Amino acid sequence: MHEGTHYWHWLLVAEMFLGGLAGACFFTGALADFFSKGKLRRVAKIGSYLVLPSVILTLVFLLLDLPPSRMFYFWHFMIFKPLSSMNQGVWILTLFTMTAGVLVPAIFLAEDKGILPFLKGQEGLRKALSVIGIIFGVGTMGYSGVVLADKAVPLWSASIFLPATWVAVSIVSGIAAIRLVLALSSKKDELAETVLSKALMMALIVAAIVIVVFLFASGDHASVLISGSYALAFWLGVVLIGIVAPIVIDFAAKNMATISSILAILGVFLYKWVILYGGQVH
Amino acid sequence: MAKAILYDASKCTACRACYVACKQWNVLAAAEVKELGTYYNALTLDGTTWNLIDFIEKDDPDRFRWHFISHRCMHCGDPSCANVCAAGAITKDSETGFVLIDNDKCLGCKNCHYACPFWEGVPRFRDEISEAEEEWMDHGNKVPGKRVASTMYKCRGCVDRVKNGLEPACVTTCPPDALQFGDKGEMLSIANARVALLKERGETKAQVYDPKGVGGTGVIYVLLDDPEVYGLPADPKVSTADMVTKWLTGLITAGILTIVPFWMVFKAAEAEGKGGE
Ligand code: SF4
Ligand code: SF4
Ligand code: SF4
Repeated sequence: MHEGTHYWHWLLVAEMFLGGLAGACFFTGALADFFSKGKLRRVAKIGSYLVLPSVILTLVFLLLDLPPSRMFYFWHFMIFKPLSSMNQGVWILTLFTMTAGVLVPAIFLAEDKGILPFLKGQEGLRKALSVIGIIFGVGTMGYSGVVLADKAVPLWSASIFLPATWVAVSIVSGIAAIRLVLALSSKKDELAETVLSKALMMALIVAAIVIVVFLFASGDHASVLISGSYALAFWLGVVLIGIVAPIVIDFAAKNMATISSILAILGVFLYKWVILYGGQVH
Repeated sequence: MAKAILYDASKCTACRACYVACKQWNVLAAAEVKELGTYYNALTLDGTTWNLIDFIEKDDPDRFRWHFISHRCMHCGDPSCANVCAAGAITKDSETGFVLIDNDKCLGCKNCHYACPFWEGVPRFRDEISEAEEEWMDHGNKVPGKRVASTMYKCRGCVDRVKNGLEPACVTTCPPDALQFGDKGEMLSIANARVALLKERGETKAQVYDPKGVGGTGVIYVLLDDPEVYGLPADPKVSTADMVTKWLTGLITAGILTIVPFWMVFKAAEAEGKGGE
């Protein structure tokens, strides 16, 4: 006869969503640029420009999630404690922001807007920083999943696969966000749109597979999502709106990039939401 | 030498003197209680409630039983709460083995609460410091533990008393000696002897609870039934134990499951006429 606690709320969902988005935008853009041998440079630019705003919002939510009187002691987290996943996250996010959020976009801006002329054309440097950014981007997508997975909350920790789903859905949000920016920009880019719609479809399928593995591996603990109090949000929000609808829309019609990207992004947010809230049902 | 508190469920009368003694020694405000028509006083551990007695009704085949159990920090040998704290605010006292929160360092992020495998997360958040606590700190009294608003609280093993040669307050007060305190080895032998006696008396399920998965605990129990009956995990694990494996599943998802399709899709763009800019 004791009541459980429910301390973690949507602020943390927003933080985990935006951090994942930042990591994935850079990851997607930089890999698109590398694998297409520069043909998708614009995708890389948009991806890298999205990093800093997302990271700043992540930090805002991170601060807001602390009690007001403790918020400005956040530097207590800036110690070195490598076995704490939350501490890992602090450093991963810091290094990711410096490379992917500041330096790489600065090199792109030097090219686009002519500011910081000494950075213009520093391709070797940009590529090296991008490799680092890709690695810390994966870290940025993954760490908040690990922060949940190394807890004593069965839905989060009973299987080893929560961080896998975290990375998989974050990548969906990254592709969808870049695609959305492209769709809304006045300068159309058909090649990028075609390629990103395919990438999104594949990422959605990967995410679906990884989520199924996670649910199976979690056994009974996953019932809160499958048939319990978060089943409606899971089936309707995550599966139907977030995964099935974007795939069907992109199959059925061209020129629906905006709507299918928005639905995919919404699905990712909802996935992180049902996991955070579903885990706290006692 | 690691210390331990022994709680013997077969001796406990559920008088809850331990609960009052803890409040009193630690200057903790009384919990607001609801009249539920039951014996419950505090319903759950919280920022001012560091131990409580839970009542469990169990319908055994031969008889109806009423079990009592003390909810409190178990002072794990390998404390998950301390492992996850990004601020390094939780440490294990080297002298006693008790696990302590440094409220000056704590940011109130609640990470430790979710990492703890016992009692639905032992460390609890408290927003406010009472006037009594303020006053008590004004008198320069920093033991037992400085109080900071909006941070986490839990049992401190009364380290301040122990280091001055006393027993923890809850132990000192316990009328039937259901709570005892001493070196861990000594407490374990008392517990084992008690379990042997209980078994002789027909308590076939009597057992000592000192789970190895968390490195043993600084609070050991003598139980009359299986741990689950009391709301205790049968085989709790340090929650950070498989953190690296969990990281790997994320890395593999990005590094293989995603990179391969990305490579296929994006490489195709290379062949397509002009793109990008
Ligand atoms: S019982 Fe929970 S709060 Fe106490 S030491 Fe173990 S993990 Fe930490
Ligand atoms: S709430 Fe405080 S003690 Fe607990 S993990 Fe966060 S900073 Fe550490
Ligand atoms: S050891 Fe001290 S702080 Fe812990 S429950 Fe007993 S009286 Fe309270």
